[in-house]
Parts: sequence; structure tokens; C-alpha cells
Amino acid sequence: MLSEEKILAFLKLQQMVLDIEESNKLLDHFLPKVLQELDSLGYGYIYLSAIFIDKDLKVKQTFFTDQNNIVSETVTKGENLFQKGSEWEMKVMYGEAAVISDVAHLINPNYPQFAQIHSMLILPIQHKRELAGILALASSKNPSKIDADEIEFGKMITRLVDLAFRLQDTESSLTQITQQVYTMNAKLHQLDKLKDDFVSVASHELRTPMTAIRSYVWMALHRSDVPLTQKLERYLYRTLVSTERLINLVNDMLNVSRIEAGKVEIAPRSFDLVALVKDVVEEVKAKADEKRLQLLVLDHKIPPVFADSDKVHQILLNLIGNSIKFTYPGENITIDFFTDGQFVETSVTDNGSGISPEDLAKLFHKFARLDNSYVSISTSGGTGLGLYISKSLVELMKGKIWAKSEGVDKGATFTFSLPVATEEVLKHADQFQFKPQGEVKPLEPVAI
Amino acid sequence: MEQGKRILIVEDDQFLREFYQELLVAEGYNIDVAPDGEAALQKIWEQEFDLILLDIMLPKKDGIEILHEIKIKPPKRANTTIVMLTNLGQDAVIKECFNLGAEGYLIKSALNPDQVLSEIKGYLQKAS
Repeated sequence: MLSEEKILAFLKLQQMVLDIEESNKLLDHFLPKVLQELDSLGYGYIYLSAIFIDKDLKVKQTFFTDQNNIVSETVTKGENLFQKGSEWEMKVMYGEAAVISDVAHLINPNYPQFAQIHSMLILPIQHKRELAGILALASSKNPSKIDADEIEFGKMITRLVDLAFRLQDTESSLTQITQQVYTMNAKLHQLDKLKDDFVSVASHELRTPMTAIRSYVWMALHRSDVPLTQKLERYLYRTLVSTERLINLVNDMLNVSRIEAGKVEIAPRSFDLVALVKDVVEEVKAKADEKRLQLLVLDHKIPPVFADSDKVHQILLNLIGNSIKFTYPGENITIDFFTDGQFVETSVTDNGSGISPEDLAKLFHKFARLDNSYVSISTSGGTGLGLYISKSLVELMKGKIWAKSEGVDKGATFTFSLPVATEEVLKHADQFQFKPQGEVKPLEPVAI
Repeated sequence: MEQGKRILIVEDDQFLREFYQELLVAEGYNIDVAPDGEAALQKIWEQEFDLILLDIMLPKKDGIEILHEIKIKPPKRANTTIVMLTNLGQDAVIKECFNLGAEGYLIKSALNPDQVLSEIKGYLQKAS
């Protein structure tokens, strides 16, 4: 029968295992306590060492502590725990405790208290009925003084040492996994940045030679010192348009990749949409004049909107630019506004080449191939990405975008909505802004 | 008449540099060129220009660095007009250049040569 004192000591140690928070150093904290507790029970051990082994009986980890309360992990990893085939080894292997007096080969003779050690209690640490290691308790007692009670209590202690080791092991493998995930994450981040930098640099490098091609072809077309044949003029014109398309494509692809990667910031503020539309109209005036197009802005009284004006500028350039492309010379493009107090709708209406019902559905898709309407992409200089970008931006600003057309050659109306800067909206302003995690990427300018 | 107005073209791409040079010489401007940031700064400090066409992505010193340096040590001709001529077109970059004293910002790939010419004419007129 174990005394009440011992049961209390056991429970105290058990609680300790469960309470120690720094699980990765559990044994460092726990083993000195064991030694201390045993001491207070009258078992004055000189030192305690716990050796853990793997399935092949090879030493995995060794802990050592003595009355100085310092735990050290000795490095005898990989060696077989049992080497001599001696009696104690056989006993321990079969799960029994062993008491030995001949301790010379188990202790380093340089150990300061070597001379005082006269016996050693070796207890098997078992885990799920398998040998998981040994607990060795060195004392100055004569081996015959170690009684069954002491051995019994020692065996109970091994359970706690095993528990502590398991907890520590789990913790350290968890830490290891966390570490691995962290490293992997950092690597992915780095790769992502590399990719992004590459895309940025590559696109800029692409634009330089494309600009050179564009400039020289333009010169050949407009500043030739010999008259061009009709054929040659057509060839040069097509080269020029294709180069422009290529430049636009690079910009739009960069923008799409930035929007999709969530790197584009939405910084909304309250502003006058009509004024912005007028600015954009001024900006595209030269293009419109080339085709003798009238741009009409219907000046309604509308409340200020709450949106990112740079992004709205981009959307307006895209929509008005499209209309300029697809409207026949001499016609009109009308920009109108409507509000219900919650949203402002801005519509761009032309009486140009129109959109077939089949194509209306695909209009805002990436690289939408429009088979039945609109001027073909190659002659328009379009990229097939502009409307997709506009849609993405509008939606980031909590608005909607849609198109209407009666059919081919019947013109089209593109409308987008943006929230009115109501008191309610301003109160929840943070819900309308979008701050990317990590680096913020600006948008490339829209070509018209 | 624009004759005699001195313009420095800072552009690292040889074809583009020669393109703008030809374009502007044909208009009667007096042109000098620099292929990188350091050569550009040297010329800006040693010679007098009416206008500088400044690229941003440049070897040795980029266009933004040049703007910073001539804020500290101004060009030989005090009222030189600086116009960025670049393919970078992000709002943030444009704002930075204007803050650093650039008077114009032209995006190469977005303008045809006629437009570049008329822009340059406009900036020179404004300066004189």
C-alpha cells in the first residue's frame, strides 16, 4: 500500500505535467521537480536520468538532472540502449525494474559525485505496453536498501515521465510543422513577389520596343518622303493598329493580374461625378474630333458619389473610349445621369454598331469573343479586357455595370452605378474601402 | 519660330532616342542627348537647355533621382522646363514627378509623334 503522502506527491506531479505551459521544455521543468519531490519523500537520489528510445531500441533522447536542478540533454543519440545483454538489461526489456550496484559502466567517471553513487534503480518507461525508455535513479544507498515500495512508486513516476515526454514530443512536432508551414508561406510570398516584379519589369521592357515600332511605323505612314502606294499604306496602317493593340494588351493584362491578385486599392471619397465626366470628355476630345463625334454631357443635378475617383476615371475612359471606337463618324455620344438617392447611374449611349443579344451576355467576360456584333477586335484596337476591368472596378466600389442594345447597328448604352455619399454611407465608409494586404499596385493607364 | 531652342533628350533606348532626336531636329530644335542618368545630370549642370525630355527608367540614375538631385543643385539654366517622357503611367508616379518639379508628363506609348511635338511646343511657349 502506498502512503497517503506518496499519493499526494504523485497527484502533485501529475498536475504539474498538465500545468506546465511551455510544453516544448516540459521535461526541463518537470524532471527537477520529480527529483525534488522524491527527495521530500525521503528518497534522496543523487541524480535522475531519463532515456527515451525508438522502436529499434536506439536512443532517441536523453535527459539528466541532479540536485543542482539543471537538466541537460546528453547526446548519445542513435546508439543501442542495451549493449551488454546483462541481467538488468533483460529485466528492463521485459518491463521489470532492476537494481544494480555495478554502475561504473553507466556513469561517466568524471561525474563529480561519481564516488557517492552506490546503487541505481533502473525503471522501464512503458508506452502502450512497449518499452519507450528507462528512468535511472542513482543513490548513495546500498542496493539492498531499495525496497518494493520504492520500486512501486518509481514505476508510477515513470508514467508521468512518459506522459511529459509524449506531450513535449507532440508539442515539438507541432512547432516543427508550424515552422515548416511558416517557411513555406514565406517562400510562396517571395515567389509571388518575384513573379509580380517580373511581370512589371517584363511589361515595361515590352513597351519600349513596342513604342519604337509604333513611332517608326507612324513616321513611315505620316512623314514618308516618297508617296505610299495604297497597298503599302494599308500594310503600315495595320502594323500600327496591331502595335497599339499590343501595347494596350500589356497594360490591360497587368491591370487584370493586379485586380485579381487583390492588389488594387479602393480609396473612396465623396466627389462630383459630373465634373469628373467633363474632365474625361475633355481628355478624349481629340479622339472624338478625329471622327467628328459630338460628346454630350447632360448636366443633371446629382448628389456626390462615394467612390475612388481614379478608378471611376479609368471606367469612364474605357466606356467613352469604346463608344468612340464603335460609333460612326459624325454621330453623337451622350452621357446621362440618374439617381434614386441611393445610387447614381451614369450611362454612356451611342448610336453605333450595337451588340447582338447573344453577345450582350458575354460582354463583361475576360477576352470575350464577340462573334455577332461590334467591329472585330483586331480592327478596333481593343483588348477584350477593358469591360472586364471596368466591371471588376465597379464591383469593388459596390456598384453594378450593365449594357443594353436593341441589336446590331442599333447603338448601345453602358450604365454603371455608384453609391451616393449619403450620411449612412459616410458613417460606414470603411466598408467601401479596400486596402490590399501587402503591396498596393497602381493601375496602368487606359488607352482609348 | 522654334529655331535655336535647346532640348535635351534623356532616353536609354537608342532607337527611341534617335527617333525623338530626328523628330525634333526636323522641327528646327537644337538637340542634345543623354543615354543614362549620370550623363544627363552632367549635361544639365554644364549646359543650358530650354527643355529636358526625361525618361524615368534609366541606367545609373533614374528620372526620379535626377529630379531629386536638381532640386538640390539646380540646372545651369535656372528656368529649364522639365517634361517627363516615359512609359510609366501610374497616377502615383505622375504625382511624384509633378511634386518634384516636372512641368509635364507624356506617356510615350499613348501619344503619336504629332501629339508629342505639339505638347513640346506648348510647354516651350508656356515657358517663354
